[in-house]
Amino acid sequence: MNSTHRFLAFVAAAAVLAAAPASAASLYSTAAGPLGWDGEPQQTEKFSKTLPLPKGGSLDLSNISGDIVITGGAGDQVVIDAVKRGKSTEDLKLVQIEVASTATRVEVRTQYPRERRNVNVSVDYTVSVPRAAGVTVRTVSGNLNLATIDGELMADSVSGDVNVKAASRLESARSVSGTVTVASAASDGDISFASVSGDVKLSQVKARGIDASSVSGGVTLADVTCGRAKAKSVSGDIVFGGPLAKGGRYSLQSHSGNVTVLADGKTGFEVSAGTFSGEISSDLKIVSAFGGEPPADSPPGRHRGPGQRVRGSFGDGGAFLELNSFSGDVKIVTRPAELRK
Amino acid sequence: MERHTSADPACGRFAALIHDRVDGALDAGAQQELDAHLASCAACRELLSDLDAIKRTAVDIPDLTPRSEVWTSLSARLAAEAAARPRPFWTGARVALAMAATLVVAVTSSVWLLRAPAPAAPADASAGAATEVIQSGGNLVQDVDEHLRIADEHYVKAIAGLEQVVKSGEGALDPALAATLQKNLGVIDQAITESREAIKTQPNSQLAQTSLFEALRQKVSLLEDTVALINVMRKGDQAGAAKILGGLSKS
Repeated sequence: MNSTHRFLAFVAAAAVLAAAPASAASLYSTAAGPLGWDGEPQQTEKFSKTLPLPKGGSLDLSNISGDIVITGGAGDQVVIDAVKRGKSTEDLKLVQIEVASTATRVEVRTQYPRERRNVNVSVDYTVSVPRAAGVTVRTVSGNLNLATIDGELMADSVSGDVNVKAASRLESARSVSGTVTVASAASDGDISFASVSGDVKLSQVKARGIDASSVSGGVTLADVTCGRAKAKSVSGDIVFGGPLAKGGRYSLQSHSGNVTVLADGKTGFEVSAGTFSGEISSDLKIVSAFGGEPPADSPPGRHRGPGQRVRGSFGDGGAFLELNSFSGDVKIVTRPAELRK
Repeated sequence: MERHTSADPACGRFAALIHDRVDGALDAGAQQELDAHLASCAACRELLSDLDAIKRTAVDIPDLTPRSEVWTSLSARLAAEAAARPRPFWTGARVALAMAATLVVAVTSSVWLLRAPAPAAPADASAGAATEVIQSGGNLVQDVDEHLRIADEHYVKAIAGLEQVVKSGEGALDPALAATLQKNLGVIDQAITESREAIKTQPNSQLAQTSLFEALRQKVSLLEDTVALINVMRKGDQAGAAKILGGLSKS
């Protein structure tokens, strides 16, 4: 689309907006804003739009650069507030916020000129949605902060942190270079969490299955409830804490990080643990299933020495733990304080 | 150099046709339609070129012909996984890599069962089947070692091909993002190096072998995601970049 077409599209969009009913109002305003990160004066342009979104509806928002805050609340409207930031009003005009809606879906796109690179404009969004609405949100460079969303939620950022709080139907939260932090989330199915260089930190997450991974970050699953968990990292630590389900399977694996499970000592489990050059230790008494260490009826404690594999069980062996680290330690602890060691 | 700034909204549909062409599954009509589009779209020509490069790399990988009894247990697993797996980003190359990866996992599992003290009871039916396979062989240790060596070669070749594609297109990525990806590929390389060193000192270590193949698999996966990011960035579809994150869950 050349600049003429884009201008015409913009004019057409403006005409549509002008003719829109009162329930779908929008507003643009431009002003000189504060200094940018480089100390240069920054121009800003505000954008506002409100659209109806009935129960069962969803929001799909894509951004290139800028932070996004989405909060679920009462009502049946999507309220979009955005602020464009750039060095000049000309730059701001290059980036368009396009909003399309149907009866059950609101789609927000941040359009940058394809024929020009290095357009230094960011767009920060603050959006409120009906609490039950589904939300799909993606950004290339920016943080995502999402809270109190009860519809299906998917959140992806290439370069930025992803923070989710109180989401009852979370499907995925992922970043390449940011941290993924989730507090209080649930799903009837599986949830996937991933980062390449950041940490993945989950607390109070309840789902059928949880997949969490990072390459150089750690993976912490605290107070999670699930029947299947798979967590892995190449150089980060893995920590798992939560009730173990009877018949549940929990696979935790790191190459050079420690792998630690916080067990409540009430639920039985079978464990297969291994490390090439680290140590294996357990605060609970593991009864050996075959050969290797620890010997049958051994007391709790450390099992030192490289190249070890332990297979045994605690209690009724109802859950299965597969714990492996190449050069880190593998630990089963019963006190939360041990997680910080 | 300004590259690949096509804004043709039809590119998404033609991407599917490009995949089919690379797989040799394009009919004459679609081929004609695609050729017409390629004539005017640099971004799609580049995508085709990249996929062809990956396919050539895959073709260079020698045929792997596991012993029939090994293949019997693997083929059922492969078929089930193939049926469950959604259409991947680059079908041809990824299927080849996935099959190599599945083979490695299965062969590595066999090594565990062969070399570890026998558990009281097999964990599941597939473990039992694998045990039978191993017990049926004569020079099974050598056979398994040979399979592992071939699987290792597959990974190394696949990684080399993907690295070539990444190297040629890395300029399309934001420098900070490219640096992050390179740093993390370095973290995986370190894991590969450490695992290889461990295997040298303890050739029969299951943990070292598992660690090596897991690291190789992760590297392939991260390189695949990097190439996918490069391709969407080249096409100017930056918003599409975030969609690539779906692959990260497999890293």
